[in-house]
Formats: sequence, structure tokens, C-alpha cells
Amino acid sequence: MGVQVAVITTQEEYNLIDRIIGGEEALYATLVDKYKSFAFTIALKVVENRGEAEEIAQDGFIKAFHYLKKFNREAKFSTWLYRIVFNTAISYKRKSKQQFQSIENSIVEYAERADSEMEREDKKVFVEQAMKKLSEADRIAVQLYYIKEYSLEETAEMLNQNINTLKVRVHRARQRLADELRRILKEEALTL
Amino acid sequence: MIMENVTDDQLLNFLDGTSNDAERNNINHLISTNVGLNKRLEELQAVHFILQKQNIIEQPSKTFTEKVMSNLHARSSFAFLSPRNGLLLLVGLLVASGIAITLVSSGQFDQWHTFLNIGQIPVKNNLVKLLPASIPFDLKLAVKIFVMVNVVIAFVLLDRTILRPIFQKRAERFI
Repeated sequence: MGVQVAVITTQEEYNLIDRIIGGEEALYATLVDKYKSFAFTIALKVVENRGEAEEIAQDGFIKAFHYLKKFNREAKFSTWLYRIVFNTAISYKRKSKQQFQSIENSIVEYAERADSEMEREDKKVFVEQAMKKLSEADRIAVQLYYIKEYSLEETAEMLNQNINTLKVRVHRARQRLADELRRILKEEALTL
Repeated sequence: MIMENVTDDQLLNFLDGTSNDAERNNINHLISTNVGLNKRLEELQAVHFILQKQNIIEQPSKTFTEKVMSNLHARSSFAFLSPRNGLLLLVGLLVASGIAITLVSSGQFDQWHTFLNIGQIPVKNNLVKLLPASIPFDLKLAVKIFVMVNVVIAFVLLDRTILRPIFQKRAERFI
């Protein structure tokens, strides 16, 4: 269920930012309300934990507030903000003790879960599991690409990547997911 | 012109709707005759549709904005200190304070009484004449003040970098 947020133009947003920098800090809540959902979604895609994602998104907004004077308005405020949130999430994940699962571990987990879920779940479950075997960069790229909230150029800017690199990541991720799906379905057919 | 070899990239562009007319016609023609290509398109299409269904924008907690606004200044002052660095600094402060207390209690600074002579400073300003010629200085007292300041800083560090993050994380688990 979406939250209703007042629509403001880019110019109105710049005026709002000027007023916030000028000392009307309470107005920052308008920007937080407008962008919190996507910021939270980005953080969630990276850390895959709602509590941590919420904390990261909040930290991202607080950092953005303190660097607001340095926002040069060459990009959209949203793109600039999301890049801060994304970088915060990445650095949080690197520092976090919850390290990534190795590929070997994820294969074991997949095999264990596949046996129990194969009968009642559809391809969606397999794709979600196969997603865990993608590299972090490919997984985040393909997930944000499919949200379709922002253009490929804006998504590339958010992730601090070249647009061609992002395209390659999205294509490669889907190819690997399709390959994995084929392999899983083949195994499933053999077990029947 | 019919191209027999169609790559995954071309199939993905076809699914994304970014391929040109010639490519689209070519693929439409080939999938009706090429079983292997048709199967590959189905696999990619399955992934494409599943990912499309997952394009949900998640919603944070209802108190998200309030939390950001209330922490705009609270968090920033110690944002540069991770819990680990905070703990290291805390240990450093406590060790320094411990050493200072040990030295004071063993009487190391008992003899360190002196007077700072300010009357000999060559300053032309007449107002200086109003000041006393010397100020007593007690190193033992200075070390005690140093220890007290360290203890206060240690309490602040303990709160900001260790206790508060722990309780915040614990509270957010119940959101």
C-alpha cells in the first residue's frame, strides 16, 4: 500500500532545499516522506534485512541532510540521495559480521530447500533461490532495473556505474537466472 | 534478411521491447520454426515475468520520518565512530585515566608545586600590572582534572557508540 506524498516539481524541490539550508530544517521531513520508500527499497535490496535496511536508509537521509550544501544540482536530488543510501548500505554490509554466503553454501541451501518446496512452489521460488547465487552487484542491478521507477541512466548514476556496465550486469544476471531455472527444471524432471 | 543465430542479448532486448523492427521480425519468424530458440526464449521470458512481479517498492515503518528528523543532529556528532572504534577509544581513555590515578595515588606528583611567573613577561600593556606577579600551579590537581574529564568523555562514548546503537537495533527489531 503506497503512502500519499504531495507531488512537487524539481524547481519547488530546489526552493525547498534552499529553505532547509537557510535554517528551516523541519521542511526536510517533506523530502524524507517523498523519498523514504525507494531509499528503503534500495537498502533492503542490498542488506536483505528490514531492520538493518531501515537503519541504513535513515542514516542515508541524515548524511544527505548534513551534505545538503554540497548538493550541486547537476543530478536530481533523488539520484544524489539514493547514491548516498546505496553507498551507506554497501559500506554497512562490508562492515557487518554477517558475511555473504559462499557459493558452496548457497548451493547446499538451495538443495535442501528445493527438496521440500519443489512440489508446492512454482518457478518463482527457484528464481528467488537462484538470485542468491548471483554476485551482489548483478543481483542489485537486476532488481533495481525491474522496479522501473527510474531510467537506466538514473539507476546507473545511483549505483555509480557506467550505463553499459549496468546493461551488461542486467543481461548477465537474467541469463544466469534462466540457466539456473533450466538446470533446476531438468533436475526436477529427472526426479519425477 | 533472416539471421539464424540469435543471441541471449537479442532475446532479452526483444523481451524488454528495445529491439528494432528487423530484429523483432526476425525473432518472431525464428521462434515459430526453431525449437531450441523458442525454448530459450521461454526460459528468459519466465525469468522476465517473475522479476516483473517482484518490482515492489517496499514501505519502511510509519515512524521512519519522525526518527530521521529526531536524529538529524543527535547521530551526526559521533557518526564517524563505529562501535569498534568507540570501544577502542573508551579503553584508551580508561587506561590513561588508570595510569594517571595510579601515579597520583603513589605520590608521584606531590612535589610538583610551582609558581608560574607572569610578571617577567615583557608586555607593554599597563593592564598587566593589575595581575599578580605569579600564579600557583599544582600538577596533582591538573592530573585529577584530566582524569575527571576522561571519565566524562568515557561515559559519553559508552552511551553514543556502544549502548545507544545496541538499544536502537534491539528496538528496531520490534518495529
